[in-house]
Amino acid sequence: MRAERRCTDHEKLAYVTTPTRLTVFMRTFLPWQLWRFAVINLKMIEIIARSHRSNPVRRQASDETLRST
Amino acid sequence: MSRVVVLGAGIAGHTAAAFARSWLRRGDDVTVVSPRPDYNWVPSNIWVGVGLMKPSQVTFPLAPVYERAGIEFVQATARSVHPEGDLQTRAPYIVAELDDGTKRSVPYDFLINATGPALRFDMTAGLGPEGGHSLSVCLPGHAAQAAAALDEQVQRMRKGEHRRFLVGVGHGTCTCEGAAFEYIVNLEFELRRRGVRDRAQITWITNEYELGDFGMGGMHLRRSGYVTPSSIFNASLFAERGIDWITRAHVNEVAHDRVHYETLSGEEGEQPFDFAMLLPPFSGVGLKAFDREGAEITDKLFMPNQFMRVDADYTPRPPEQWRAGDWPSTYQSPAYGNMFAVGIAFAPPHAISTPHRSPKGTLIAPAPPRTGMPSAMIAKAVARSVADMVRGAEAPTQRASMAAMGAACIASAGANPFTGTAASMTVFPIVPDFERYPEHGRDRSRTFGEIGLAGHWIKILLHHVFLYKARLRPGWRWIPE
Ligand SMILES: Cc1cc2nc3c(=O)[nH]c(=O)nc-3n(C[C@H](O)[C@H](O)[C@H](O)COP(=O)(O)OP(=O)(O)OC[C@H]3O[C@@H](n4cnc5c(N)ncnc54)[C@H](O)[C@@H]3O)c2cc1C
Repeated sequence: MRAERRCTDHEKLAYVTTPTRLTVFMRTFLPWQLWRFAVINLKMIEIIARSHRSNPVRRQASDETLRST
Repeated sequence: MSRVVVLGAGIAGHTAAAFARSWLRRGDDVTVVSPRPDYNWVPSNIWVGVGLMKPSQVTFPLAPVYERAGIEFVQATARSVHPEGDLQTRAPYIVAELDDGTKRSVPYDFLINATGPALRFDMTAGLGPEGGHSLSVCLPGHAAQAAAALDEQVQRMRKGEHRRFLVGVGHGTCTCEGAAFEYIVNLEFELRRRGVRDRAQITWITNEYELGDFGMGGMHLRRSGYVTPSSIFNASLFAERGIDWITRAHVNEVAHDRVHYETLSGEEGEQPFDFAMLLPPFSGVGLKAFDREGAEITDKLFMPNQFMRVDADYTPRPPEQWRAGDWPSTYQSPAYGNMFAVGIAFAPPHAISTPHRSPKGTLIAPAPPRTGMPSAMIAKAVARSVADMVRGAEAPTQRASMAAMGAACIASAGANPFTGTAASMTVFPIVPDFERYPEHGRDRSRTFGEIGLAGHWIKILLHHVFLYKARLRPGWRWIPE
């Protein structure tokens, strides 16, 4: 399924960065995408972990709660 | 014994109720008050809106889930909060309206407001599917209506007609541009899949100053030796997909076949359409508050936009003086220490994107988004604070500032297991912190984006995993927000 260029404003298009054929091909190239699947998941897990770390918890009260549940 | 009441059963309220239940003792009660019987995994409404999923695939009934979890469910719309009780009782309570119009009061020791947004179609004449001329994907029913309208357009195109599609936001102060972006690229993909793309003209209309702003002031990505703003990638994708765009626009009116808009440069324009999906602006849901004597104190608890005041710094300041520290971290009401607001229900201190006005004085400025991940992380933090306070902690024990938290987001750009794609993005932090990251306000090594099939697989995975988690199936606690 190839996208067709239908944007009517040619002046606008003249200043737009467009992907090369290789870039477009790699977006759905299975071996590469399997690798990216692993990489993106790791990046997202890191963001989640870091978000928890950057919002420091006042440990004491929470730990008490955890122990008693 | 304490009673924790959660208003709303969306991403934030459901998360807060589930964690509060699991952290509180048996004798403590958790009650959820929410008007609809079903949970909705809102991000997948996009796929309902292009006909790839049915509403039943993005919703499930809440009552059996809450019964199993030991959470009381009151299907009703909260109308008012009485944080000091009244002349008969000193116990705080809320008043909710049941489907048949009867009122019920629900007492609480701790209240978590997670009522999300009111969809303000009324702010633009002719906007919205209920009496207006445009469609929406905010609710599963709206999305199903959009899918049916799309089918009708496709039938006409198959007969040789040319059709004009307009997608974006229906007011200068909208947020959620990311959701509308997902819809337009999915729509384009779907028209290609159905073999009618060559008969469709597709246009994006937005209040963003630049494409790719998404209400977060855009983001900067490292790519091929340059640090590139997201506007470049967004424009590139639109050009590649043949989508035209109108930026910096406030829609004044949606007529039956065209929108009338003004832009920041003062230009007044109109854009004809045969199919328009335009998201509405949001406000709070309009809860009222009363003191013990029955005098109205709504202004004390809520901002003029009806979102709830929390521990943010609401002092009005020009954008150059905005600080990360303005953003709330405990989500506790400054007026009543046993009230919290999470998800979209809390009032942000100000926008993230720089606000602008047109020569006529119209505000054209994306409101700050509060997407699924931060909504759930904030809800979980507040649930823990409340559980700790029930056990005697004097103040909230958890912090979850959007200026110290990242977000991971997958924007679907076409749904197919082999040819589909999605933009995978991470930002850290969500709210730029120019004191820590002077150049662009964010940690560049953790702010990333790319388009590919892998993103689509992750989006599908998230759909199933988050619905599993929301059903509170075994191990749900270990699935991250
Ligand atoms: C189409 C669309 C696509 C999106 N896609 C993504 C995405 O891909 N990724 C992402 O991270 N975010 C996405 N978002 C944003 C995400 O859906 C929100 O961040 C999230 O839903 C906010 O959660 P919430 O609980 O605050 O609000 P909501 O999910 O709106 O929940 C509010 C709850 O409160 C209830 N309620 C309303 N009024 C009352 C009342 N008076 N009393 C009691 N209860 C009440 C409602 O019925 C509902 O149950 C999308 C949003 C839309 C609209």
